Amino acid sequence: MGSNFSTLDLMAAMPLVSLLLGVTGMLLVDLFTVEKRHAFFTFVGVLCCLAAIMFSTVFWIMGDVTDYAFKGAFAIDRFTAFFSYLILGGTICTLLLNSNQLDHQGVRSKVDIDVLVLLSAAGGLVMVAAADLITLFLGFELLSVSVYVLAGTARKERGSAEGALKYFLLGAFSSAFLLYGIALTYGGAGSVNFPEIASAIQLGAGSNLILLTGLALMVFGFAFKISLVPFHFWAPDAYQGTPTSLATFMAVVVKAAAFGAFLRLLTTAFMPLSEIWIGALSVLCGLSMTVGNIVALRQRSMKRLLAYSSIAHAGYALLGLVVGTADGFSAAILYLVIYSVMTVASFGMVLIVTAGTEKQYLRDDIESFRGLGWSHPVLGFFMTVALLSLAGIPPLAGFFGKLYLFKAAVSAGFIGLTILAALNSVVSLYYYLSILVVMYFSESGVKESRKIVVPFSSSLAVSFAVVGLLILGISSGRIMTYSSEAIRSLSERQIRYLNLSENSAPSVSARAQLAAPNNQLSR
Amino acid sequence: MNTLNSLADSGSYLLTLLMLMPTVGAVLLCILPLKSDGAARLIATVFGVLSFLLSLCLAAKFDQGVAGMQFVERKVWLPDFGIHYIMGIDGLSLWMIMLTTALTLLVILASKSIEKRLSSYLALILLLETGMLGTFMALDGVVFYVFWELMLIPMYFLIGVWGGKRRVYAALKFVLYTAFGSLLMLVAIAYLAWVSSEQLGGWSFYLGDWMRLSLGHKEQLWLFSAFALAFAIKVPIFPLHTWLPDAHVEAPTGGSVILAGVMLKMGLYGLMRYGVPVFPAAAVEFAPVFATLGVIGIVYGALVAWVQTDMKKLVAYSSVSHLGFCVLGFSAMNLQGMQGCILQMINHGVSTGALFFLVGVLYDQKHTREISAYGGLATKLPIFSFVFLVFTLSSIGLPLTNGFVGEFLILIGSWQYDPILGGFAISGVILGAMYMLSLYRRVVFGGFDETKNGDLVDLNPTEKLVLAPLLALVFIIGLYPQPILNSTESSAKIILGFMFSPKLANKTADVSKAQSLAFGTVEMGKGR
Repeated sequence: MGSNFSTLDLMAAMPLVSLLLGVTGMLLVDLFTVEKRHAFFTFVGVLCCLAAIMFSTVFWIMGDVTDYAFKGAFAIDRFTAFFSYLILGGTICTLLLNSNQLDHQGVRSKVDIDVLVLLSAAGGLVMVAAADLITLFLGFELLSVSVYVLAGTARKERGSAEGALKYFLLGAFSSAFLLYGIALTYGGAGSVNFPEIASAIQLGAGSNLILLTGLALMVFGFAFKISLVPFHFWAPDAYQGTPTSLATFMAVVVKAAAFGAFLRLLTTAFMPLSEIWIGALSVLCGLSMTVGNIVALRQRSMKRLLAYSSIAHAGYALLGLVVGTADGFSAAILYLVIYSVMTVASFGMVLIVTAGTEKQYLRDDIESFRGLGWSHPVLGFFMTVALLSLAGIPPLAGFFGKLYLFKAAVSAGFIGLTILAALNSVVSLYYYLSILVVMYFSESGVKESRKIVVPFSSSLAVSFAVVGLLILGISSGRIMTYSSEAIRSLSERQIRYLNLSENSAPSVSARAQLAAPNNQLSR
Repeated sequence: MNTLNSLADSGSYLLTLLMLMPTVGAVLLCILPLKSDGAARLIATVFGVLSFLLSLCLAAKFDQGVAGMQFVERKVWLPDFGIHYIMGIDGLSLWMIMLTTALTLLVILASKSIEKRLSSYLALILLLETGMLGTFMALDGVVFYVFWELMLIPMYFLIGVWGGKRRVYAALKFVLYTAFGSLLMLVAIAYLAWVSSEQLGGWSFYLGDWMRLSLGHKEQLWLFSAFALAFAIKVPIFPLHTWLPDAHVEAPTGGSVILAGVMLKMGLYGLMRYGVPVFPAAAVEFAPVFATLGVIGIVYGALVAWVQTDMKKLVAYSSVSHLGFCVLGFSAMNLQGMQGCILQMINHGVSTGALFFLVGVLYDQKHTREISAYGGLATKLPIFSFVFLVFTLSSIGLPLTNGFVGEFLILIGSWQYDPILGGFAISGVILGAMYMLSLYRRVVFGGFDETKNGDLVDLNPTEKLVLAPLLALVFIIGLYPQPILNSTESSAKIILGFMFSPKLANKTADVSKAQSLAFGTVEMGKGR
């Protein structure tokens, strides 16, 4: 390893470097120019993300079996690459949605926003690659602090200030939980390195109460970031108060980064304790699906409604984690990708329709959609596709995401939870269809048809998302292969590590343990 | 991987072509900048006619002597998960497909009464046709489910946009009811695929593979319940019928015709295609329940229809009653019952579809469906009254009309099955005559109110064109039902074969026999 060492480090850092170069460049250009054209900054930001995607591809190509960089702090594998793509893709969409739309959302300092978005994305990249607890926390904070600022950027709006403050206070709590959990885990396992924690657990630290408390506290911290019930209270207020383009970022990138890091932490460090966290997560999963969907029924504000729906969708994705098999994990991360595309489409549409209106931070912005289907047929079609996909109607992507989740859950014996998820889908159908009612069925009460200005960059992001929803499902074979590859690269490392640490354990049994760790539990 | 290899692709693309044809029309209607309603109707008619001609072509090429799936198409779709695009039809699906294309074409022709957004309306009707056709062709669980759910959304919009006063309520109720059943079915589908992976060595959603699974007794009961719930809601079987009157009353005429004519048959079709072959033991065990509920549906639907003051609601409840006959015939578990059921599914599409058209004719002119608003139409609208009479009699099941053959077969079958239930069912025939004749008497006979209804006009040429083929079918099927009975006989026998295989307890042995009957021809590569 010695001679490769620095090369690996460099490779691991390259995506981050390209983002940070972009950040520096944008700040400098901003400083020295008077005539500011936001489109230019968007272009630079997107370019940086594309460069980062390119560098992440190296992770994919050589990440069949994990390599470590920075002395075990960074994992280079397909899992990292997969989540980097997701995070960077979400960031590109956010930048595109920001462009030309921030003015209409009451945000003044435009370049700073894009800079913070890129910084936050860099934090996300660190989180999903982190292979020790300290690096994980670093990424977590880099991501969170930037997003706290983003949440409050519509300074003149009361709702924005309220949402940002709630988000910040509760977020600080969650960081504290996470940090305390990290400290306790270190105390219990004697290491912050994920594989070393796993081996410590195998050697008997699993019964250590300090370690278990640490695990529980870390689960709380992540549950907050993923907005799982009962740690979800910030989400509706924060989404509603945050400018819509940045709320997209919170719903896509923050959630994806937290989910990715959570998945890696659980599967590499705490897999031997899977029976414990599966029990806890199945409760969170059931609660998130049910509470998210039921509360969403009563919402009259689009952003609050989508916030609750995103809580419910986080619950669905968690179903794959609860399942605890490789099948379940890959279904979960596939669902996360599909959820992200759906979120970009639906939030993007909310942005396009409400931007510039006075209602965007108030409670009744569902009214902005009244008669939209007939007055703007293309926008109406896009929104319809996004909503039907969220509701899981075939042949859109959302349906296939659910199908894979159900399949994985049923095959691991979680039939009760699967039925709960199916019933929840019926509930969710009600409020998604109610939006269609407003858009298509009630033409009375439409004021003079409003001219909706659609900037090119926003339409680009939303069209990509909608096309994605139309074809991602039908041709989901390929992307499912990618997600199972990503999960496999996680497991490979675990197997290799188990082989190194316990020479007595044959690789077959280790693999079996990874593939179906909870079969006996679930039946 | 497993037996998927046994079902060979026949190299024919007829089914896919037919299934996609309406979608092409729908897409054209959406993207072409159509200036006039006439142009939209022309495009829709062209694609409606093309689909109908393709289905005729299918019927012409269909080999009645072959017991099994024909025109099979089999393509790998998502290989890692055993999801294949498998289409194929037998005699049962063939008739359902014919019914679908014919009724859709008539609905398109009758779209003159749609006053707003005609091109969207027609596009949705065509999209709905794709969904229905795909459902009748699919032999893979996931493909079936995709089409099954695909039907929901166009119908939701048809009711919600073009419907009556309570359209939002009716549309949501329709979708939520249906989705409730089908999402539980989705869980069962996932479960079956998992069982295939355990027993057959690979994920499979293919119907032929599912038939070979050996499922435990309890497992079968649960899975069958999940499937049967979805199907029973669609039929609808009493007491799951409450969405139907709302949906029918609020839907525009075309929507009601398709809903009654085709979509209600999906439930029974699903039971025959998936429910019985995959879970024969459970189906046999549930048959008495279905039979009882069917008879309750017959009597209840008829009694409720009798007291309606709204014509459309009356016809809607008569559907509950008629579908009760179908369910009874299905669960009688003998050839007469099963064939009667299939024939009655077609008959109901013809006669109830026509009745909804006729109600629509009156509603378009007076904008009320209250029976009391009309009366004495016989003098003023002679052609209307005659046509109405024919379909009323067909609905009652008068000999020489199509309704008689179907109901008679079902009654024979149910009498053999259980004389008590058969007896109750016969009371349904009498009740049917009472409510339909009373409707006819109140609308067509009596005094004509010149001040209120003086401006009513008789059927116009389009309406005559739409009703004429249905009128002809009433007598053709009534006098000579043999072609339908012949081509569905083998399907009925296969379904019964599953129910009556002597070794239900040890399913694998006999089911492979039934399966080779169901899929035998294609296994030998004889399918076209």
